[in-house]
Amino acid sequence: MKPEETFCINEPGVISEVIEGEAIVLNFESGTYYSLNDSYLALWEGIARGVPAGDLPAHLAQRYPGTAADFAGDVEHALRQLLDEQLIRAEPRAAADVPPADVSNVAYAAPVLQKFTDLQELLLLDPIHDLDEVGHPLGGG
Amino acid sequence: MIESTRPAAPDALEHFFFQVTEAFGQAAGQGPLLTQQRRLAGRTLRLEFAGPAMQACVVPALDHLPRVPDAVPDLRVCIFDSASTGVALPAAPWGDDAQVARGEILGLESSQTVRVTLQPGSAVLTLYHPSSATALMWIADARDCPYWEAAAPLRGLLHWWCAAHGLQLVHAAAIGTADGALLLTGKGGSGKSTTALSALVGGLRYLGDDYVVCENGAAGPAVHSLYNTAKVGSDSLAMLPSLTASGTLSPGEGQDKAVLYTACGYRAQLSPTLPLRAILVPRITGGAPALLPLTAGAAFLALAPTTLFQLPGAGRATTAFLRELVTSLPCYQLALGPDMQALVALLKDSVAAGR
Repeated sequence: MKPEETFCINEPGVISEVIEGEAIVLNFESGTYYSLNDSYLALWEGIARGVPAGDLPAHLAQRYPGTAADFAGDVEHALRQLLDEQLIRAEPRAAADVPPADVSNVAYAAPVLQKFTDLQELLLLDPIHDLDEVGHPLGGG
Repeated sequence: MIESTRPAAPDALEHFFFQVTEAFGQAAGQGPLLTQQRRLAGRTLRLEFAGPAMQACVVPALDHLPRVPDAVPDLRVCIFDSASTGVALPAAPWGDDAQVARGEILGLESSQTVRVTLQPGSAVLTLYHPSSATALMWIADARDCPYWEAAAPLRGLLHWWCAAHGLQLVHAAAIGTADGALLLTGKGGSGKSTTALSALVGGLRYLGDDYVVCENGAAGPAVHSLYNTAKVGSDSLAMLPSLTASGTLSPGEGQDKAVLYTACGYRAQLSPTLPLRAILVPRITGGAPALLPLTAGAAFLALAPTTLFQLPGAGRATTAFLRELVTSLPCYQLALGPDMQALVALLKDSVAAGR
């Protein structure tokens, strides 16, 4: 992963909501949803604002005690995880004027992406079974 | 979203809608046109049936909604099947390689002129044409309409229609008292249905077990009843034997759950609309029932995915609606145990306390 590489949220199939400091991410392609802990939310917001990969550790260092080097490994892991889950995608972006991250009132904990797969069956793609010659479904039951 | 291999142009969809409308006119000409108007979420829903065959698929679940025969309809739904009317559906504008998710035919979701829903498994097709406030429901043979479709008819269509009127279909149960309602949400097995049924048996007001309509109104959030049905599993039957005694429950062949039509036997407890007082996320703990504080984010996590992943086209607007809902109401985890009487007392107290 190159330090200058930037990413974006994989919209429109991925939607996130932050509610009173808690973040929930929904992936409509897979039927998977996620909750993000505080440090993951800070990363998520940095990514969404176009902070390059190489600057994300410093982004965390604005929020938590420590240096950018302290967070580099966790950032690398989280970025790979988000790419693997197809929640973000690499996209070249112009240099963004990103405001400094707010200082957190909770202690730093490594980014945790809690993954929920219990609703995946709701979004499974179904061929329209048993179509007649003009595209009509022939009946369920 | 996912690209369809052969998307139909929106104007082709509108043309299809008008063709199906003509087909309905032919079907209605084969026999009696049966109509009824019901009050839903403060609006008037007009149902038109081409003959009697489809009534059993639609009317029982909506039979608790007040009749408003003289009101001006806000939505007209024309309903027919081909088997009983002898009228075929015109050729569909999608290919035989089309795929469906959430009832959406992929590739058609960009059409704003006609909203199409095709329920996998039931093969019920609905078309909604917002500009004429008209919709169509069709199935090949009314006798093939599965029990779960009849328990929640027109679901995708009503989601589209609600969204166009500032309302939101929500995957949740709602119960309460004359003072207000509690929204119960959670994944399967969380105790949502058992709680709703316990409230029903315990004499509380009932607005729905599976899907209800919510509104973020100027006077605060409100919930509207949509279906009077409740899907009842064997665990609920074991805990609530009086449901069985009502004689209205009988899982049919191939049914994993019985369907209770609460309009039969519990009509006096059914409320069309109540102000919402709180959101409860049930969790079976085995102990005494109790309410534990829950963050709005945790309530959103329980409410949003199960709603969004089931409704065609649900996305940003729905998440924004649900966000407003969970942040404007107190949210609690409802710890559940086997004591149904204590549960009902707790629910009553919760409404009375405004939470």
